[in-house]
Amino acid sequence: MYGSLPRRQVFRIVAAAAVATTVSLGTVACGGSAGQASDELVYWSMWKAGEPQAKVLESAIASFTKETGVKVKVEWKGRDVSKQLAPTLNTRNVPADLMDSADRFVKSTFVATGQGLDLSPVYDMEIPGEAGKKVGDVIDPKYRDYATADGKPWLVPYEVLAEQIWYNGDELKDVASAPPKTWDDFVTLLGERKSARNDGPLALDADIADYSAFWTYHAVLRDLGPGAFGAAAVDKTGAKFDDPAFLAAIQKIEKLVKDGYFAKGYDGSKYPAIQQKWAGGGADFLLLGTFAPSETKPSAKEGFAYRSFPFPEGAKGEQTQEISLIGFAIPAQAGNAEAAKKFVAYFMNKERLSKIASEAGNITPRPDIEVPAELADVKKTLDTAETHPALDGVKMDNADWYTKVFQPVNTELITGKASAADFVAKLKSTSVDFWKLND
Amino acid sequence: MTVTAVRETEPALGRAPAPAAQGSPLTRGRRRLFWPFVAPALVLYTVFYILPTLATAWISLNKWAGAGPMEFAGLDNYRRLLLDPIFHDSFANTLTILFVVGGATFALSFLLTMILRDMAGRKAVRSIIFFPNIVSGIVLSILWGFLFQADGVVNQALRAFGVDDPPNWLGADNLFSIIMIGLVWVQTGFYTTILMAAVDRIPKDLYEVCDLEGANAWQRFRHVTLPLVWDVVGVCAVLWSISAIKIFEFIYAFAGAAGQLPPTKVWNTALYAYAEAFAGGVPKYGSAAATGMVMLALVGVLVVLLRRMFRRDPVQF
Repeated sequence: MYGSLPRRQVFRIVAAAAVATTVSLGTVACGGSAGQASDELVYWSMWKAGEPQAKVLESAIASFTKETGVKVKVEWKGRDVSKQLAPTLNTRNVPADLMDSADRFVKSTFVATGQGLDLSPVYDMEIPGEAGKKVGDVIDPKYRDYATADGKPWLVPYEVLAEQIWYNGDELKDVASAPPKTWDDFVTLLGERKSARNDGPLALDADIADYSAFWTYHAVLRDLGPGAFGAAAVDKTGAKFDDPAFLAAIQKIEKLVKDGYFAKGYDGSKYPAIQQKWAGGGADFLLLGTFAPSETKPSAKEGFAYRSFPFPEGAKGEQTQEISLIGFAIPAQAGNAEAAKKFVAYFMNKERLSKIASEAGNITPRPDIEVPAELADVKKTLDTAETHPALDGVKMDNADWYTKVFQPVNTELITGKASAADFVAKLKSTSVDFWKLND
Repeated sequence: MTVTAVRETEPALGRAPAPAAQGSPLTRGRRRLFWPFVAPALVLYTVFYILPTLATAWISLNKWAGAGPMEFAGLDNYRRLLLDPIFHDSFANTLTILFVVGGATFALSFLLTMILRDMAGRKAVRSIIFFPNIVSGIVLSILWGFLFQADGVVNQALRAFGVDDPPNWLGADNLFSIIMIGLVWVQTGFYTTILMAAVDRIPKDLYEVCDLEGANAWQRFRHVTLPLVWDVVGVCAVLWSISAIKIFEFIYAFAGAAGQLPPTKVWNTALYAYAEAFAGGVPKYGSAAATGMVMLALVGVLVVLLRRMFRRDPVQF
């Protein structure tokens, strides 16, 4: 430099540059899959390399390539796969021909934007290695209905998740022989267990808003039936919250909190502290999805026998089971949709799909596939009960309301900061305001 | 984006400025070389900063799910931000971080600078307090979480000292305070390091004069140290404002878990923008972009104000 710049000018340059660096929402450039041969497909997965599901899929991909000659370029993107794919969906070169993800991500990324392929043809495809059987024949129809919008299926599921109340059958033999069926039975049992251990028997990592929501939602579900919570969520007048039955359901949860049935530290820990505490014998019951056993196994005490029962019955009586799905979806603009469909049909073959159960420890949508021992109780419920989307699909279809309106108030209820009456009043008023703004 | 400021005449820096005569070969040579030197940087800057900013501004005027058609919405996204109570909380949290965490960080940095100025082994200490800045915020936030949870290190220590009912640090009411303390802890080393470097440049004899005059520590700081590091403090204030508004990962990793967002109570505007785009439902890129533009405007205003606040003739020494 010829002589130093005046300090003030340096300052100004630094400041201007620094201001510009705050622009953090840039546009993303993506390499496309244009110009590929049709005997290739690009698959973006929600799993990370090395996860059990990734290993199962990897071996299926290897044999698929060997048998059909179609090369599969797989990228283990992790859980944010749909976020990464979303901005590319309406471009000419969508980088993936096949994606898998949890139902709600597929629905918000593909269905809401009209960027997903109608998967009816996949359900009509014959499964390689199972003569005369189509994909639609082997998947339980209720799962297909679940993942259908306007008559078009948007997902081919390969994993079914369901929430139940988990416990150690080795320790609670009475519960194992006769799980509590009604709410009153359940509360009685909680009372016994609380005095036995001098601490709340219910494990909950309340820093995960979903886990707290499971309790409230299930109470509403059992008293008002499937769909009631979902209907209340989108009620722009808030009138549905005035139903005395709604308040009664919330009062059940209020009682659990007031009577100290949640294990100490539930409202001031970092996930997964409390579920680990539960697995180590520090609490009795954990309301969680079918991933509970595989998540807690490393910290489970010696001889832990995973057993579960559905959330106890309320005023509605009949037992239903809420579920969510993980499966395949294909972008509407995919360059190699045919190859992608082929792979999906190939993977749904009994022998290949059963590894999702035997090796990845999950329930599959094929009723004829054996489930891992620790999920046997869930499977029993699934085979008999009516199923419906987790949280009535609220997290799937109205995530904004769920995050901004329901969760904050619900966390107050679960951590004892708000009474049932406060909860209902606040939920109603914030809901009405929310819908005024987001109509 | 440019920051306008009134130019003032600089005092001569001991060297006469080149005469601005049109014909001076030196000036002509300089003028010829101006564009070749500036152009590459300007091109990069335009492509990577200015265009994305304009794109973001455009997106903020639309309703867009990140895929599919864009629907022009005018200022509707901004109207919604104005009326959304969650955004109000997020904005308030951003300002709280900016002023409260900033104030605490700077107070602590000055204090450490004063203490470390004549301490033996200060280089080592400087490295130690700079350490939190090197480690990823994610790692720190996880560590911080384990310190403060119900059965965490802090509470066990308190119980050992006979506190039977330690506070619920991570409860909804205390969570944001803990986040702020964590942020102070992370940031302090960085600003202390910069301030110390500035203090190191101050000639020793000025302090010797202070001693002879019988000035106490506060007077020394008030009349010697502060005026001589004033412009560096100004730079630090700008840097802090910018990074404070962008803080994201510490809150996200500390208060969120298992792929879930933290409770809305502890959101700042950066988290709000993220949630608008990625909360799990249909992404609202328009609203997220509008939040980004609000943050950009906030930074702009702050930088201009700070520049005015810290404007004074530099002291020569």
